[in-house]
This record gives sequence, structure tokens and C-alpha cells, in this order.
Amino acid sequence: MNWLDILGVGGIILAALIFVITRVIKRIRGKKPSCCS
Amino acid sequence: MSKRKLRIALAGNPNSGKTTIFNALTGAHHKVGNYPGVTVEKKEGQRIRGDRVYHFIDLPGIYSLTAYSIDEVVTRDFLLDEKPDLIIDVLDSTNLERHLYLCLQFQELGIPVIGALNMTDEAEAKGIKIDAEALSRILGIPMVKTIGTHGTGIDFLLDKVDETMEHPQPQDRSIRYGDEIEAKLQRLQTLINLDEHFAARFPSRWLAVKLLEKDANAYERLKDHSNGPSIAAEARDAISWLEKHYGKDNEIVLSEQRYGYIRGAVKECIKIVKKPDFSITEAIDRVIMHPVLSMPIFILVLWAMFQITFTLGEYPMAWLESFFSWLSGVLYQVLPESGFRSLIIDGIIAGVGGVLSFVPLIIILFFLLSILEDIGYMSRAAFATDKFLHTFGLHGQSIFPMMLGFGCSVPAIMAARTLKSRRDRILTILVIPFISCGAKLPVYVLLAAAFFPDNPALIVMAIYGIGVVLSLVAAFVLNRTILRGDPTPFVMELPPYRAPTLRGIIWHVWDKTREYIKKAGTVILAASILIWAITTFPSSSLPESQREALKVSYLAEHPESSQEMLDQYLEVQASEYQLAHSLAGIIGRTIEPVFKPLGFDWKIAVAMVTGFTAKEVIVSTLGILYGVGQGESEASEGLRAALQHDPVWNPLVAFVLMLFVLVIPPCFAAQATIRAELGWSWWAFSVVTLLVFGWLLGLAVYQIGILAGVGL
Repeated sequence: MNWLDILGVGGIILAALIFVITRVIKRIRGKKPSCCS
Repeated sequence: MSKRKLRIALAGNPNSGKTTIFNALTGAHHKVGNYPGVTVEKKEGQRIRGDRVYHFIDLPGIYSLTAYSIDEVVTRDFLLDEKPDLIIDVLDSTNLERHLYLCLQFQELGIPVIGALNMTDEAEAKGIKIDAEALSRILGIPMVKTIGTHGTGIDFLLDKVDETMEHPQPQDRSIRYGDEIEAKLQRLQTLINLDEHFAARFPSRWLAVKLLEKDANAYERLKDHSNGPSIAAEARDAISWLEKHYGKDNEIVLSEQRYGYIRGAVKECIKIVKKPDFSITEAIDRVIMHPVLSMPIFILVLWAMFQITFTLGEYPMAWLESFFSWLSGVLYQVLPESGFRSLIIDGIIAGVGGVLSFVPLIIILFFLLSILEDIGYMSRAAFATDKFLHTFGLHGQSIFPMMLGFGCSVPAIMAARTLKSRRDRILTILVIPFISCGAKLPVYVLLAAAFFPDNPALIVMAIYGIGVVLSLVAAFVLNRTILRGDPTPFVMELPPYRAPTLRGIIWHVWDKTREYIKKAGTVILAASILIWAITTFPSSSLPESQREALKVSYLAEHPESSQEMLDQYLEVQASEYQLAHSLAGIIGRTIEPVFKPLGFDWKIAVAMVTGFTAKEVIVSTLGILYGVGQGESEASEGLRAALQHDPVWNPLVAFVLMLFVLVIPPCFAAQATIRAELGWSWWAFSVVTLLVFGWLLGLAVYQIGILAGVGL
């Protein structure tokens, strides 16, 4: 892997991780799930 | 110039078409169902017309303003505490006598009321002729004829809203209860009005009536009154005097007065022009709700639904699968070899594509379910199973949340709010996870199609059926142990058969499909990326010594093989080695001993863990685990074939896995809803018991299967 590849792939993984974590925190705090409104 | 904003509450009895009117007024597309209890939370929407902004609040359907269940409390508290400018009471024209009962109670609140005489088309078809003007005059409530499904009368309704706001109705038009009761009401009203601050918050007439009706919540509210205790004492004296006078319970006396008043009004304004000598509804009901035939018919309907779903769904599913493998192939050629290419092909397309292939099935299943629901069959099915449910300690009304559970557990758990007692609510919520939601369908379909190719629909239906049976058994056990008690009595309404509207069905289906696609594009996309990451890192390559040893043994076994075949074999071995030494491999092999007795290997174990985010992720995970690093030839084979080739899998393992997925705790969103509705301790109880029971059930079925030599 070259550095550009590592940066791109790493960025996408990081974004996915942040997305999942914020979603989990929102749910635990009791915010209404975005699905099934 | 700023526009004038009006806050208008839409209220009425359950299943009177409030949400249909709400949608017609606001242009929204909320779920409408032909059964009571669809709206459990209030929804809001706007419409702008001329210089006015109409802000509508769709409230849950209720039978009276005496709050028994959560949805009744929601409606009542909203009307009392938030004081909308106006109430539109949506009335079912075919059943006006009963629906006007609530209307009169709204009138007593002192908030202007307009009656929407909904479903007038159905009433006319039944030969019921309503003189709306005369009814308005007698009751002092403007009445407008509407047909929510066609949007008929909506503009006129808004005209009436404007008119009512400009010329408020006189406050003294509400029902008279007779001299004795009126005298007591008058006395209580005078006492309530002594505290001006309190009287500004609560309409004194309404509160006085509720006190005489022995409404616990009304007595509760009196605590804020500066002279609360003496008013409560006065009310109790009045009740005992009236009960002696009338010789019956005061609540009954007041409701008899209301019904008497309504009957009088109805006699004046409603003419039954022709009585249909033959009611189609009754004729169909005689067959569908036959004591013996109803259950076999219900099972037959479900069987037909699954058969149609599978037979029709097979073709578009195959097209989508081949589209995604074509896309992988193209991207494989176009993109240079890099981590990014692997992420796109082995992570995103294998994960998200795998889940998206099931969209046609979801569309067909929900199309059929919506038709059954809108026609009114689901309510009949509920009625037919009502007696049956009672024997298991479940409340008859529990059937509605449970049926919603076939779509998604989240609204199902929230719909349990319509149940009046907390015991019934807890019991219903605890058994909802056994009802297979739409997200579990792709898992069942994948496994059934791969390992039971002769009749996958029957296997999937069996799993759904086992889920229903387990929910009943769980209810029975809970009812005998920690949730003792009798379900509260309940009378179920049977809506008339209605021809489903195309618009309604399209919206139902679109609603479900949109949710599914949205989930694929958000949670499942993110999960797929992360799963790909844990299957790819840390990256390791096959040690040279091991590579040589594999080469020698392969050549010894296949002396005729070409260099190309050998290279392909080594490539697969290298990716297997990489996978086994990745983070996913390490996690999987650590937890594998727990799953081994159920016949699951580490790859299935990983899928079970990731499946906690959403059940579709199980399919994505398997797609990634079985696709990672495979050359383009294998990747295009599809997940189904990949599973069939893996020696770990056989029909028994697939069946045990389906059972396990059926029973284990629901997705994260559903668990968060359980916690929100019942609190941490019931949530923990639910998760732990489901996990333990799921594991024990899987163990028992797998071990018995092995002993009996079934499905190996």
C-alpha cells in the first residue's frame, strides 16, 4: 500500500467508526431512532 | 407581514381515519392502518393557506378523556396542558353514535371543536344519510363531511377552521346532564373558579364533570388548587348524594346522560334510507372468522404470502446479484490493485450489495402485507387468534404490536403503549423479539435458498411460525412466573372491509423499502467498512515455508494440475491465512469455543457479533468473510455458492443458525427502544434471557440433529 492508499482507506474507516460510535451514543441517550418513525 | 399561526389538534376514536385526514391536510405520508392504535405518538405537520399557517398535531386515537392507557394520557395531557387553538375531531360516519361520545367531551374542554364526518362515502354506501347542518346546529359543533382517502372536504374543513376562529362558538352549548347533576356541577365550578390562576389552566366545567366521574387524574390535578382538599371533599359528597339519588354508579349515570343526548341528536339528523339486506362484510366474516376454519385459513393466507414472495422475488433477486458481481468484475479491471480496490469490492459491494439484493423480496412481502392490512384481514386474524392468545396470558390487543413486529421491532415495541396495564405492556414487549422482523428475512432467505433448495419458502415460513410459537410459550412461562396476573378485559373493534387504495399501498411499501435502503446506505455501509477493516488488518502473508509445504502437498494430490490451478490454489490459501490472522480471525477464534457446540465456526461467530448492529449485517459479514481476497472468479460465484462449498455448512447448521438468529436479542435500535419503554432492568432481563435461551435452543437442536443424523 502506498501512503495515499493508506490515507484514503484509513480516512474511510475512521469516518465509518465515528458514524457508528455517534449513533450508538445517540441511541443510549434515548434519542428516537431514525428508522421506523 | 408575518403569517398567523394556528395550532390545531387532530383527535378522535381509534381507526376513525385521523392519520388519513392528517396526511390529506399536510401532504405528509404517515403510516395509515386499518386497525386501531397505529398512531402511538403525536405527529406534527403544517399547511400554509392565505395568511395563515395551520400547524396540525395528529394525536393517538382514544375512546374517552378518562385516561387509562398511555396513548390516552398523551392525548389528554396535550389538550389540557398545551391548549391548542382548535380541535378537529375526526368521526367515523358509519359509527357516529359511539364517536360523538368523545366529541362531547372535547366540547367540555372549552377549546373550539370542529367535527370531521369522515368516511361519508362508506356511510352513504350503507344507506346512512347524515344532515351535517342539522347536527352542527343541535350540538353547537360545526360538522364537515370528509373522505380522507380522496381528500374530499379538506378545503371546506379549512374554511370552517377560519370561520370558527373568527367567530368562536358560544361556550354554553355543551351537553346538560339534568337538574340534579347540573346543580352539583355548578357548585363545583364556582369553587374551582375561586383560584383564578388554577381556573386559567383547567376548564372548570370539564374538571367538575371529571370529578363527578371519579376520575383519579382529575383529583390528582386538584392538588395544584389553593383549596384542593375541600373541593375534593365537596365532590365526594356530591357523588355519594347522586349515587343514592340515581341508585347507580355516578360514572354510569353521566355516560347514560351523554348517550341519551347523542341518541336524540342522531335521531334528528341521521336517516337510514336503505338497510342492505345482505351485508358482504358479514358473509365474508362468517367464513373467515369461523371458529374452526379461521386458523387454517390464516395459515393458508400466510403460506400463500410466502410462496408468492419467493416465486416472484427469485428473478429480480438473481438480476441484482448478477449486477453486483458484474460491477465487482468491472471495478476489479478498472481500479489499480490497492487497498482501496479491496475496500470497494470486498467490503462495500460484498456487504452492501449482498443486503441490497433482497430489496425485491422486501417490496413484495410488504406489498402483500399492506393489502392484507388495508383490506381489514389482519384485524380479523387478530380476532380469530384472540381467544387463543388469552390462554397464554397475553392481552387480546397485544396482537397489534406483535403484527407490527413482522415489519420492524421498533414501532412494534412502541405500539405496546396502547395496552392499558403495565403488566400487559411488559409481557408484550418481552415477546416481540420472537417475531421475525424484515431485517431477519435476508438471513433466512440466504440460508434457506442455499441449503433447502427444494422448498425455501416453506422453511422460512416454518421459522416465522416457530417464532410465533416461541413468543406464545414465552408469554405463558412469564405469565406463570414473574408476571402473574390476568390480562385486562378488552373489546376488539372489527373494521369493515375496505378496498385498499393504490396510493396507500404504494406508500406503505415505499416506507418500508426506503427504510431498508436507508439502512443499507448508513448502518450497513459503515458496518461493512469496519468489518472489511477487521478482516484485512493486521495484514500478514503466508510464510514461505508453509507455502512450499502446501505446494508440495497439492502437487502430490493433483499431479495433473496446471501451473494456473496451482497458483489459484495458493492464492486462496494465502487469503485464508490472512483472514485467520486478521483481527476478525483473532476475535472469531477466541469466541469460537462458545459457538462450537452449535456447529458454528469462527466465521459464523464473527457474523453473530456484528449482527448486533442490525440483522442484515449478518449477511454482509458472511459476504465479506467469504469474499475477501478471493480471486475474481470465486467472488462472482455469489455468497450462496460459497457457503455451499464450505465444509462447515450443512442443512443442519443452516437451520440451527436460522433458529439462533430468530431468538437472539434484536438489533441495537430495538434494544434501545426496550430500554426507553421499560428501563434498564427489563432491558437486561430481555437480553440475557434471549441470549441464554437462543444458545440452549441451538445446542439442543444441533446435538439432537447430530445424534439423529438429520441434515448432515
